[in-house]
Amino acid sequence: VIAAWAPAWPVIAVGASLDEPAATAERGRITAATHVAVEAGVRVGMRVRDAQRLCPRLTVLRADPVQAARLFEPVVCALEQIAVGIEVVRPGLCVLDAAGPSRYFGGEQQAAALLRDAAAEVETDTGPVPIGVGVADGIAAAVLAARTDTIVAPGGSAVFLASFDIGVLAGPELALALRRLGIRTLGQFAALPVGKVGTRFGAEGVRIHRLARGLDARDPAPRHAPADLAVEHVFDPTVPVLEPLVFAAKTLADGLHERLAGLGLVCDRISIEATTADGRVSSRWWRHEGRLTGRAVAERARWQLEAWLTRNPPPQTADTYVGEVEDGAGFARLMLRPDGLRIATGIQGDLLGGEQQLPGTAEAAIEHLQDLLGYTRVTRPVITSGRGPADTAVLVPFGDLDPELRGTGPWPGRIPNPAPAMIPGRPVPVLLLDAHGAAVVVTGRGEIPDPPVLLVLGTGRARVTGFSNPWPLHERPWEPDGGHRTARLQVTVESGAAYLLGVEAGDWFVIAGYQ
Amino acid sequence: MATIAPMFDNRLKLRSGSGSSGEARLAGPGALDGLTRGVAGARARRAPGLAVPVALGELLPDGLQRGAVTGLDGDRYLAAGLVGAAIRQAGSAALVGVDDLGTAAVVAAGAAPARLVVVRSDAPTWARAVEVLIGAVEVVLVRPPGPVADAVARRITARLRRTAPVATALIVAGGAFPAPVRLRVAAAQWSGLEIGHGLLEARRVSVVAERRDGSSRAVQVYLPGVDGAVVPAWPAEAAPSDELAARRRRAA
Repeated sequence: VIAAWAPAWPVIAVGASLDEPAATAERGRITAATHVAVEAGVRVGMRVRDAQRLCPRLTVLRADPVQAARLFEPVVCALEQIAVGIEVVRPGLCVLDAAGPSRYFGGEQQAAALLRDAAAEVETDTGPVPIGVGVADGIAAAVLAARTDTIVAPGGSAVFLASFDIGVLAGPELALALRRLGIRTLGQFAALPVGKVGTRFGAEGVRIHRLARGLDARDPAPRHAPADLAVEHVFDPTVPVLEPLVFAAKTLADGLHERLAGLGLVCDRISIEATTADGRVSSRWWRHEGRLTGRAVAERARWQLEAWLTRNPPPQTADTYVGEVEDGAGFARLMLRPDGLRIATGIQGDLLGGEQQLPGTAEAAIEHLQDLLGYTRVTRPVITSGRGPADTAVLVPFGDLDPELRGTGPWPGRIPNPAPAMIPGRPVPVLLLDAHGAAVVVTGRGEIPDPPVLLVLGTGRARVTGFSNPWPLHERPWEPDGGHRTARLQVTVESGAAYLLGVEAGDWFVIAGYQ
Repeated sequence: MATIAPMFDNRLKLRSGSGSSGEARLAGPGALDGLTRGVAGARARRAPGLAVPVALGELLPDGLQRGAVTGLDGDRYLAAGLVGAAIRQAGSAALVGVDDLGTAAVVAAGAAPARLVVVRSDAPTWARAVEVLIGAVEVVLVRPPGPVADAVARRITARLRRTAPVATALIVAGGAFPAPVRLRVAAAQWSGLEIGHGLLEARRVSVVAERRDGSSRAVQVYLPGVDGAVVPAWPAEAAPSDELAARRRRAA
């Protein structure tokens, strides 16, 4: 078995350099460290505080397994160019069967060298990826051999493993128990009779015992290379304007969604990549979560390319007329690439069936309206929570993802029930006057020294018949300008109408109306 | 009732008759005739309308008419109450050009947010948006941004009457759109708020329905009630909350 191991991969993946003492940590424990840090005494599983005591220059980063897995993908693809049947044990470590490559390349040495070169050619943000390649009889021995770039002769795994500390294979609890019994190396452990190990340490103990004797617990399980699901549209002649691109994006996205659905997959992200004839590329990843419609993807293509065109205007050469775009500046290719594929498990509907969903007729009408009015103007309300009148329901375009929830509250200062029925787009300035004709003042303690008598709304004047105690609202007090400090007040006027008023810096305005 | 009454009569005849089984058998077909007539009558009647708040049942005895226009004044709670009650159980509703209507109020009136479509249309597009939605959702609530041209109103009304997968009830808020029945809110009075204390609780209003033939009817309701829905109100002198408020006012 060949094991290819990129040391400290999780640290590289979060953007640290291998030449610096850096480590990743999760829940206060070190999960990976660069060799500089390891030399200083930092060990995996150590508490971050202990590691920092040993190595004060240590940069501790937050572990990001998803990112590590994503960045490891190109490395695995490069290795697959050399040999097939690669199993990714975890990001940074993969194993493969040695028999094929070593016979094909004329020896284990040669195969290991080729794998090392292939990995080094992968471009990453932090330079070439150094990998260690180890060859041994079993996975455990090969992985340990990869640390030192060793090739263990067939049948020599048990001898090779014998000198390692018991902690490299056994979990912390088992290792501690064994150390207390005076067993410090794998060799000492392997010398114990298997029956006694089974009686004392159970199945887990027997598994470690097998590994320590150089026997394999299992064979490598090769991964299946992901099928290339990217879809592409080539424009010939090239198109200098956006509309055909957006249209093509919708067709491509619909086709892609259909293909994914046929495979029973959904994707977490989707990349929209547009290339001009002269080779300039606009590429971006968008969150998908398997819930965007084709139209929503097309709308994202429009957002991305509109912004890209503003930042990168078509190059003007001396001999083109003003307003005429050169051929090379038009878009030649549009590609959609799904990423983060996972098995479609469906979306859980409401408990009592599909009653909550819109029927097909309504969905067809919504699609039609989005064509007619624009994607963002046909929306569905999503009930959220918050302090303002507009925070209780967010309008999301159909086909788009739900917004991130803002937490559950309790939202001190929120608007009490019943919900106001009239919410103007922006607060309407009004005058709230007391008996002397001066604007009503709310003190810092939320008291009104002079009660309101008159509400002047535009040209209308209405006598105030009732008002609540004002309640203060202090949002974002951590911001440098002191945040947003207002007070709210309900008033009723003699016509029977009621308003929710707000006051900020002495100015009154209508936040919502109860009518 | 029309279905049951003749059946009942026949049974009475049967009981009060001589009691012989032969006569009873003869009376049998008559009872069946009455039944079939009743069914045919029910079929001839219009399709049942959408549910309206129980408190407004007197004003709209047939419910919210599908395939027809219901006119409203500018009161947003009335619009929210009608939409909420109509799609409380099933169906979907579209809100067109009512950007300042609080969605939370519509949801409080009984509408499930998953079955609401909010369309932000403007002056040139609202009529087209309404035409697309008619026949697709159960209720369309629209507030025209200005006076409606006769031709537009006729086109929309004709579209409503056409057969479609879904028979839509159109609610037009504000304006003078031709409608067989028009609801408006009169004498609104909020309760719960006093001088310097309390919070708004419920609004007591009189909802007036005016029909094209000139007849009108009014009911007293809480719109919205304390839970956001439409609740029937007792006559003013018997309303306990109002009496409490009056007592407080006397004391103050």
